[in-house]
Amino acid sequence: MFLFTGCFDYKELDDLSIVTAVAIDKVESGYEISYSIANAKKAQVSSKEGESQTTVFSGVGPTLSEAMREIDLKNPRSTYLGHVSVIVMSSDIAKEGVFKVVDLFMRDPESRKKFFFLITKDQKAKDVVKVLSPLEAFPSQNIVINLQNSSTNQSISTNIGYSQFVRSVLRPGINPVLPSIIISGDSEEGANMANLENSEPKTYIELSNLGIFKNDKLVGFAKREESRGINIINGNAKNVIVTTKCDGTNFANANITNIHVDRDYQLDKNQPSVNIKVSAEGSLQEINCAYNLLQPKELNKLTKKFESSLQDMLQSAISIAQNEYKSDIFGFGLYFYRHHPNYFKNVQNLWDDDIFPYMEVNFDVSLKLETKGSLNDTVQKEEDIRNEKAN
Amino acid sequence: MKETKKLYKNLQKNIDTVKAMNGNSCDINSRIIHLKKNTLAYMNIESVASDDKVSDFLMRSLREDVKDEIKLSTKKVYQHLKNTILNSKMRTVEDFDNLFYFLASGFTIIFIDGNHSAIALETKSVLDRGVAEANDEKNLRGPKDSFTENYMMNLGLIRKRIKDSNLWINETMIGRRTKTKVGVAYLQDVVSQEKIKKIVDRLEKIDIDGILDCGYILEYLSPKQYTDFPKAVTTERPDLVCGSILDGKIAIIVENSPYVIVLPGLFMDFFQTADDYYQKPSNISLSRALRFLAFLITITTPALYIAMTTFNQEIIPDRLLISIAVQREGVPIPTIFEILILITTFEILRESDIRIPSAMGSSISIVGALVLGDAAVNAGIVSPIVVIVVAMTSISGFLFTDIDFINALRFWRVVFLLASAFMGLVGFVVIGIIFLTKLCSLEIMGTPYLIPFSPLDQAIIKDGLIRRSRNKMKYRPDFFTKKNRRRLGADQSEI
Repeated sequence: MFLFTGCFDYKELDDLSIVTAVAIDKVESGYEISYSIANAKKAQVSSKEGESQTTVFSGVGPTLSEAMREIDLKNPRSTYLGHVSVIVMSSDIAKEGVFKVVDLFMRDPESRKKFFFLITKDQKAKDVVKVLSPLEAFPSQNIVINLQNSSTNQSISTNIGYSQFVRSVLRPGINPVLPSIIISGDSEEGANMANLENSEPKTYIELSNLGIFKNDKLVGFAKREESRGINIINGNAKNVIVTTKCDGTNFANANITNIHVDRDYQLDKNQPSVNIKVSAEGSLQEINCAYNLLQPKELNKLTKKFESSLQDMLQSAISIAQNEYKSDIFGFGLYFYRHHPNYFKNVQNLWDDDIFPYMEVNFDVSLKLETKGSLNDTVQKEEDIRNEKAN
Repeated sequence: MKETKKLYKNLQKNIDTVKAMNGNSCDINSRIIHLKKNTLAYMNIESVASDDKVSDFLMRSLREDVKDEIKLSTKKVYQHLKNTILNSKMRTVEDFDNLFYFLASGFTIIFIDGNHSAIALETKSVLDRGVAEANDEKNLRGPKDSFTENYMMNLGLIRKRIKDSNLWINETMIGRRTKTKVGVAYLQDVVSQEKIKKIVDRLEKIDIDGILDCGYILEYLSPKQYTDFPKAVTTERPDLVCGSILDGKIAIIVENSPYVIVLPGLFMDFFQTADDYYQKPSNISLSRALRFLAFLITITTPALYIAMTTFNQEIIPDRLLISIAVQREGVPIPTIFEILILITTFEILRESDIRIPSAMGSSISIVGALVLGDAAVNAGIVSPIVVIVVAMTSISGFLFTDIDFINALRFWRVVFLLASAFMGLVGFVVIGIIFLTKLCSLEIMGTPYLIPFSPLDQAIIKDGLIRRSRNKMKYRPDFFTKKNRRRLGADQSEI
């Protein structure tokens, strides 16, 4: 029986070039697609992952498939797209609409559909996948790990998988957001090994704010605080740093965790509205004002301040989506689509432009300051107390 | 069967006949003693008889007993000798075939001139190495003695552990030329007589010129169902044999073999060691889990490696895949041959390691370690990850002591490997199904091979994958014997 099967689908690993990152750019004659290939051979025999080198091949063509075929002419081995972990897309393409790009990778049975989607900000996507990282072996690894860590620690970016992105494009009543990525420094320099020899690399890549889509088209970028707000409302935030002015010129910082978001929708006489209840726990990270944290009253006052800055953050996120870009990135419409289908059917085409921007959104933020750290007061005050005791 | 030749009355004629039968072999020794009225002679084979015993006991008693009776008739001398001679084991011999068997077994024969029958006295010399520590099945705790080539000593090692009148030993002699004794030991009140009869019948049917080891018997006991996995346990540990007998199993002891066969040998038995019952039950459960893990590793690792790296790369995590890919760079041969070369090299190494005199052992380990490990990788013939895969496979295989079982594992490992090389994970699954079907279909003496896993038996799984404490194992396992199952006393479970 075995003899009849032949060796279908048999591929030796050293006949494959494993593509870990793909960059898609718009050029005059169509598209330019670039592969970052992970297992390029180095001059000396090495067996460790870290010592392998990455190579970028790119091809140009009027369609994406033709651009890909052109790479096959340059690349001696067969390209293997099963392990693509990042696709970086230039903002030009995103502005035109991503459906053209989405189709190719969704259709390919070989790809795992587990990669992250990113957009650049007016920079070439190809340059992004070329920038070497001082800490990770491959540019793609660098981006993925950075993305995962930043979305948990900072909540500016969000790690949106490919299928999640496509889902939000296709579903009615929700529009996607995508994290963006920028190169800081000279992009030519970043592709050079010499860049890594400095203790502070001159060029590196940096995750940036969220790009807001309307259907499949990029309409603009949120600012930092707004990105945080979007992530909190969408339930993607795990850790958020909230800063508040506690008196005059001094600031206090809290790290907000355990964020629970409850959305309470209402449809009153065809007027949709939503109450967003955010409850979270915070831990004080830094405070420079003279609060007596042992007094519950003072602590409450501080908590209130944090709550209000958190609310500001959320409010700004809502207002940018409602007023500036008119795009329902929070998926409010999705609720009405599911629970009030008759109503939503009528307004589906008007939703983004005429209904969503005028929707009433209320916030109910409750914060609990759980820990205040190892100090009871500010450092200055602790010092004073100690001096008093010494005297 | 040809008529056996009776002994002559004439003493000299008897001696001559025996010598002629054996072509005047150099080690036949005889001496004629003339008494006043009678003539006696004794005869033995020097190489198997003990000179000391002959000189000390036989000669002395002959002299002392017979000198007063010099005027007695032949018959009376014969009777007198039979009654008084100092020896615990005495037989009378009347024909030449029997005579030679006794001679070869180390007996000394006394002929009395004018008498038809001769007296055989045991004067065996010790031709074995004595009870030594178990070599192949080592343990950390528990008895350390092991069986030897001496049949009686082996029986003794069992008998001294089970001092029960119900321990019956059924002896058969097999082999036209070697006349090897084969003993079947069992608990008469536990094992069903049918099973014993079946085994003994089968043993008696064996007509072969020689039995040199228990392996011969093993082959005769399961000739019909062809299987790679052994269906009987062979062990050199008396404690394991006795444990099995107490479980209601049957032990077959073969003369001149330091291994004893235990029937039936089930799949589960190869995952249990005698130690298991001497240590804390909860810890043993972990060891058993480890053995099952090793079983899976040793059969499947190379196959899974090849299926995943050459067909189904999608299921390897990114970084691991790149790491493997980089290691494979520059290796000129396909992965399947890479693995086959290494596995074959390793098997050659193992085989030579068994045969090589221990004085040369270190050279082979140096060559083996260097050639297999370092040099092959540095030369770029194999990739390091394949060395790891093969090493894992081999080490895991050594958790088992039964050589037949290890060989069966080796066979299936290669089958899995080839299937995966042809069809990837699909081939792996196909062979996996065939493998399981095959195992499930085996049975031995009416017991399913995979019991207690298939058919799943709640009651006996307590001594399967895990080992429960002694007071929970109130009954003997019931899959090969249903009689007299109680193991513990009535109120022992509360202790």
